[in-house]
This record gives sequence, C-alpha cells and structure tokens, in this order.
Amino acid sequence: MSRWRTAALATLPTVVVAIAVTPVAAMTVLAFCSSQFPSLPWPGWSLEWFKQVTTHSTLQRSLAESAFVGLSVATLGSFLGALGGYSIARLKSPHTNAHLTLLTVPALTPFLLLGFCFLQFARLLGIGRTTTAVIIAHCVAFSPVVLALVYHRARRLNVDLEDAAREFGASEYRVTLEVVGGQLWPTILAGAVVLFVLSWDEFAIAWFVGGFNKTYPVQVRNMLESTMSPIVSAIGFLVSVFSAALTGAAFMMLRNTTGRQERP
Amino acid sequence: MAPSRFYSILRATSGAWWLLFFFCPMVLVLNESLTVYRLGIAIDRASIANYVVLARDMVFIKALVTSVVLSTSVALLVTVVGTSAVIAAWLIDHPLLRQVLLVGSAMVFCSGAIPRLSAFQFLVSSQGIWGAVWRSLGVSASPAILYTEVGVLLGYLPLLLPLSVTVLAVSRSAVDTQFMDAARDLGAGEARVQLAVVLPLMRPGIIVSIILSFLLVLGDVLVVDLVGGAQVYTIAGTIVDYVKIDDWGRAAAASTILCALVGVIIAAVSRVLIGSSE
Repeated sequence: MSRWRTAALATLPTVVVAIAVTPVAAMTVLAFCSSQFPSLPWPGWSLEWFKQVTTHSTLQRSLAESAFVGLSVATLGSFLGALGGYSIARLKSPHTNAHLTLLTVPALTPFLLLGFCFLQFARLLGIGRTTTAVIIAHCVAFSPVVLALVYHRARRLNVDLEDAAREFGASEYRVTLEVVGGQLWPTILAGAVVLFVLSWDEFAIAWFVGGFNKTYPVQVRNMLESTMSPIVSAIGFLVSVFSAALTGAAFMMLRNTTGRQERP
Repeated sequence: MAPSRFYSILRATSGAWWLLFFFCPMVLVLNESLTVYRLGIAIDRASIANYVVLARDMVFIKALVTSVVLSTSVALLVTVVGTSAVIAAWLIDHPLLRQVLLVGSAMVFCSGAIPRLSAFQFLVSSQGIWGAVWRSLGVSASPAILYTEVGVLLGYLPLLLPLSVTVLAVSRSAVDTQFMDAARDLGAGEARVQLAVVLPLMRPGIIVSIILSFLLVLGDVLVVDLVGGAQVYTIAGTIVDYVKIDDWGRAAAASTILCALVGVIIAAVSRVLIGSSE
C-alpha cells in the first residue's frame, strides 16, 4: 500500500480520536488554569483548583455519596446480573433470547424515563428522594451489563465440570458457588468495576431520584449552573485518572483470565 | 434439588426483581398519566385529558419533533463517521492504528461527561478556541456554536463517537476474512469488497450503534441543557419542566409517549436484527 494511500486512510480514524480526546485534553488544561474565568490568550498556570477540591466540603460529601452508591450498586448489581446471566445461560428453551431481551430492556430505556418512573414508585414505597432509591434505580439500569457479560461467559464454560461435581454428590448451591463461581468470578468482578464507573458518572436517575445527599455528577451540574469554574475541570481530571486506573485493572483482569481459561 | 429446579429459582429471583423495580414503575407511570391534577391535587383518575392537552400543545409537539430529528441526526452522523473510521483503520492493516483508535475511544469512557461538556463549552465559546480562531482571522464576532442546534449536534460527537466506534470495531473484527478473500478471487475491487461484503456483515453492529446513539440522545438532558441552553427544547426537557412545576400527570403522559417511542424503535430494530441473522 502506498504511503499516500495509507496517510489518506489514516485521516478519518485520527479525526475520530481527536474528536473524542480533545474535550478530555481541554479539561486537563483548564484544570491548571490560573484564572477563574478561562479565556484565550491563556492567563497562566496554577494548582489552585486542586487545592480548592481538597477543601470544598460539599464536593467532598458528594464524592463520598457517589462512592457509597457506586460500591453498593457494584455489589448488588453484579450479584443480580450474575444470577440472571448464569440462569439464562443454562436455560434449554427456544425462548432464551426472549428472556435475555426482556431482562436487558432496562439498560436500553432512556435514563431520564427510568428515573422519572422510579421516582413515582419510590414515593409509593416511602423511599422517594433517598440514597436507597438511587442505589436500587442504578441497579435496575446497570445490572443488565453484568447479566450480558456473565451470560456470554457462562455459555462458554465446560458444563461437564458441573456434571462431574454433581456425580460426586455436590449440592446445586455448592456447584454454583465453587465450580461455576470459581470460573466466573473474574467476569463478575470486572462487571462490578464497570457498574461502579457507570453509577459514579450517572446524572439523570440520580437527579430525579436522589435527595439532599447529592451524588458527584448532580453536585458538579449544580456548580456549573452558577459559573464555569476550573474547579469542575480539576475534579473531572482527578476522577478521570481514578476511573481510568479502575477500568484498566478490570480490563487486564478480564483479558488475563479469558486467555488463561481458553488455553487448552 | 434437580438442576432445572435450581435454575428456575435463580430465574424467578431475577424475574421478580425485574417485575418489581422495572415493570411496576412503568405501569405506575402509565396509570399516573391518566390522572388529572389541579393545584397538586388529583381530581380525575381515569382520564385521557393529559394526552389531549399534550396533543394540542404546540410547544410539546415541537419538542417531540426536535427530539426525534436531533436523535436521528446524531445517530446517523455518529454511525456513518464511526463505520467509515473503523473500515479505514482495518484497511490500513496496521495493528498500532487500531489500538490507538480503540484505546483512544475507550479512554474517553473513563472521564466524567459533565467536566468534558464543560470543557467542550470552553472550546466552542467566543472566549475559547473557536473565538480565538476567528479573532486570528480578523473577525471579532465569531459565529455562535454554543446555545444552537448545531452546537448540540457537535456536543454529542465526543460523547457518542467512542461508544459507536467500540461497537463497530467489535463488529468489524468478527467479519470472516474468507468471504473477503473469496470476493477478491472472483475479481472484486477493494471498494466493492468493502461495500458488498464487509458492510453487510457489519450490519448488526451498525444497527446497534444507531439504536444506542438514538436512545441515549432521546433521553439526554445534559448536552441539551449545557450546550443548547434555552434555545433547544426536547421531550426530555419537557418532562423535567413538568416535574419542576409538580404536574405529575402531564409529566407521566409525556414519559409514556417517550416510552412508546422507545418501544416502537426497539421492536423495529429487533425485527431488522432477527431478519438479518436469518
């Protein structure tokens, strides 16, 4: 392939990466801006906004709230997703796809709609505008991600191992926990990390269902209502580094275990 | 306990969770949409008055049309650009470029949407890069992007392109190269191989990309709010506004219409997907 043709073909993928990465790069640069109102020509560099993040009590409370919600969603959502994914993978029925579609519909429902519907229901249950309501609503929205991951992984597991354990007298609970769980845990753990990251950054449901204890995206959105402050970029930068490390770890875990289990 | 019975218990648990926390809230909202409120008090619990009011409300109809047009435009734009980029990256046959495309796209998922949108606001504002470019050309008042429909369309690109590229890249890597080799052996040129062999085989990925982008834009409030401001009004904004003034009946009716729209789209796309797999 000629050099010119390669360069011409590489243009579009480069433009796509540039479109995706430019706001992230701009956010990083804005985090180090010395002026409260960033503009060009560039006013200078500063670490002031990172210092403000460490002393901003409302922002810290919202980060703690998001971390609590994220961890709860990761635990409960991955358990429910794994339960559904594994049981559907072992379903011997022509309606397997229908079951899978039905249980994954919540993930395809616009979050605003899910948030509004759940708010109505939570008010009826007496948990409207509470952290519990946000956790349950996030589990409804995001657990299908783990369900899909576990379903596809469980279908590729060797069923003979489960049958062998049963032959040796293991109960169904023991087979599920020790034989299936032993093989599925990296997928479930990676799914839990994905749930944490998704829940951490979710706005619409948390805004509708959440109460006085605002999550991080809701708090940041409220801050942007008053002014375009670089503190938002500073906290965005710190959160991105944290999320990238978590996602990278989950990806490595998934890749390593998939490779190890598929080796003959 | 027999395995089949045990699996049934597991499925029943998942099903019960789905029924209680997904299906029940949906039914509740449908019921709420039939309730008419006056000064926050329900005065009629079996009426289609909310739907009638919405059907006559030109602001709501305009918001619905804007939502559908915006979602369709973004979904098509993102999918066309994403598909072309993925096909180009695979044509070069250089593993590094594919890695850069995938890692660059995946990296974006890790950074929060709101700080990125705030940075996007700066990029397209008159004080940011966009304004600086025009000033360098000697034009003091740059054409506005922020708080316009074009701005909203552009605002979705950094959020949805990475998602679309990831889905399409998975779809492209699943294409069996034997079909392409066979087409080349039969004398097809590279352009024809891509259009007549690769593109049809990528169809499930293309459809998933369109449906995901469409649904995400349809239910989004952030981009419209931060980049569109008061100039762009969508169905999501309508629901939020009705909730703000405690008109739960009309908010529920607008949500039911949105839900029906989503249902029709999912059903239509599922039909296409099943048709393509057959």
